[in-house]
Amino acid sequence: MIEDDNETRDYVSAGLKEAGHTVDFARDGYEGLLLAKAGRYDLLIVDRMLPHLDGLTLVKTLRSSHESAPVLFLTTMSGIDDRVEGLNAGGDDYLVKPFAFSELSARVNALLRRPRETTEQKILRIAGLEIDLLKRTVRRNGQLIDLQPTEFRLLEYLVRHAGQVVTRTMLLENVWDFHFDPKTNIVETHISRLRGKLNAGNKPDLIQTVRGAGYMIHEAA
Amino acid sequence: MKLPSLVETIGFKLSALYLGLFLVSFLAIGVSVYLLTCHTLEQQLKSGIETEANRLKAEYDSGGLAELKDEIDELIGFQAHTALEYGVIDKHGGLIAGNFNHFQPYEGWQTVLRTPSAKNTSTTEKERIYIRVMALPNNAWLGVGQHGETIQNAGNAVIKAFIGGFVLVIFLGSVGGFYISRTFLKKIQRITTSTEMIIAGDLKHRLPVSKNRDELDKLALLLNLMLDKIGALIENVQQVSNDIAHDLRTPISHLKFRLEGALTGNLSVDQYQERIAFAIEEVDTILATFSALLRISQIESGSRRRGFKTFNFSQVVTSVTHALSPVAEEQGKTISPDIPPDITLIGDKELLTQLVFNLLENAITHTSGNTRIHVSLCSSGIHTELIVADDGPGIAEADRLKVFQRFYRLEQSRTTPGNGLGLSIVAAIVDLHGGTIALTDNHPGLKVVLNFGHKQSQPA
Repeated sequence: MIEDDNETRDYVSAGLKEAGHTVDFARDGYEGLLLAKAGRYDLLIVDRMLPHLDGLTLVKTLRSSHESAPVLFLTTMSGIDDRVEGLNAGGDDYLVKPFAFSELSARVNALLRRPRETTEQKILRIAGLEIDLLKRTVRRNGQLIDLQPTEFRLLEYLVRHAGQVVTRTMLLENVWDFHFDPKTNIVETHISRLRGKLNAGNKPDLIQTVRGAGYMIHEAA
Repeated sequence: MKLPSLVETIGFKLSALYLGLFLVSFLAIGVSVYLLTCHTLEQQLKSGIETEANRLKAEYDSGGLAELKDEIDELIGFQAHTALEYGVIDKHGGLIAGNFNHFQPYEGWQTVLRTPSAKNTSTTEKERIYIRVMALPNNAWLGVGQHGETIQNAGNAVIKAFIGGFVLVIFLGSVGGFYISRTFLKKIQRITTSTEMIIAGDLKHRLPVSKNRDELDKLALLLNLMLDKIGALIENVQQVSNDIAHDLRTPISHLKFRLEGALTGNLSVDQYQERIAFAIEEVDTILATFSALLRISQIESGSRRRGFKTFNFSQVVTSVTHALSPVAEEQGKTISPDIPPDITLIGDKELLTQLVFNLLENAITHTSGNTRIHVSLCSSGIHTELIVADDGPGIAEADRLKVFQRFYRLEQSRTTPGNGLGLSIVAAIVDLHGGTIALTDNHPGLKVVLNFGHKQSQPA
């Protein structure tokens, strides 16, 4: 984690250590670059604004030396251009400060479990669900379920991140490509519709609501 | 600010430059007229002399020297007052006939300077004499001459006239230049005084504009327009900071009360957790307000224009409609879309998505049950029009402009969640794309009409 703000660092490190991760710190861009190049890390959390060397340049430098560890950018809330810039520079995800730890944790897990070389699967299977990505069909216990395109994408995202908490913001960004905070509860509404269709006929609920964090599909539900 | 002295003004410098150029041309004309006048008169004079010389030569050819001598004597005697002078000389310059031997014994034109004779004592200047010399047989030369007084007089007259003109031009030019510079300087002085007043803090003051509508007036008008715009912006900024202070004080004080209550009250762990969760929610609301404000100012800064791209607007509107339809249905409202495919727009896809979302979200959250919401998109190739219309309560005409102001919330929507910034963001996004937005009556309900011109939405 490369972050110059002590409070953010302590807040994040306490949470990540509790979740069983090992965290190394750097306080400025140069230190961070040296550390990131020396160690073999599974994930880098990089603040955009750093002393000596800013986060964007740091990640560009890393990527040009073929360092492929996933990068999660932390940005201040004023920078609405930051996301695109960050992703262009080689970042994999971004999080706007201030953030809830549950949000960071969910994104960290999503990035850590992301397969490095994505093998193109045609069919996703989990807990009696069968998702055909080519035909865009879903079956539960062999029974065809008719889903709207959005509902299909929602389910696909949840299943691809099975066993991980997926936050509301992650769904908004990845399913709808909405990068703002809606007043209305569109995620809840769509999840509830999806649940209704998946669980029709009193089947056990596949989508678990994680209070204060988001949603999750368990591999062994 | 210290004003430049008269000599340093643009008016003076321009006048001086024009005057200088005029004088140079005037001088050139004067010299040409002088030379031309002298030349023409000289030609005339010479032609007269030539004729006379030829006649006398013919006289000699027919009657010899004696005849010529007689003729010359006669001419001198008869034409005592004539300007012409005659003489025949031998090769040593000795006078054979006539009264005039100021020429050399060779054929051709000669000019001689001579001190004027006693009868012309009025001028001490030497007079120029033009002489046509013709060779006669027996080493004699006939000379016919005439002084060039007329030429000199005409030349002098021309010079005098031009000197007079020259003096007059310098005089008028200086006076005119001075007058123009002074008028110019006075105008600048007035503008300077006004500007100094504005700098001193009188932001309502405007630059003086005369009825002449000259360049300076046009400039002053433009500057006044700029001052109006700046004034409006300053007022806006003041308004916004007031609003921020006012709008954030309320939730922050609530938060404080609740936290104080939690601290002093004897609460169970569950109750503490509940209070803390509530406090976090309040803080999130405050942060969301800040986020929205910062987003507005970032949009208004125009930096996003760099990333403008052509994208499928139909898809954006359709996707937003699909996302919000279930939400509307949950509340018993319906969204009916009328969106032809593949209408493209040049702009920021992310922001325009938010714009459509905000408009549709407003139509859902600020209306009662059974509301029908109609979303339609159409494009003429030049203009793209998006209409979001509902049959809800609508907005009173007096409020239709105010709802775009930051933090402005209608009385009836104070109880619904929101921060009064949604439409401000919409307005900022529309502005960024050079579009227009109008709120009209849908009889009943509200109709929001958005218009994007293709040309205007091109990246600047």
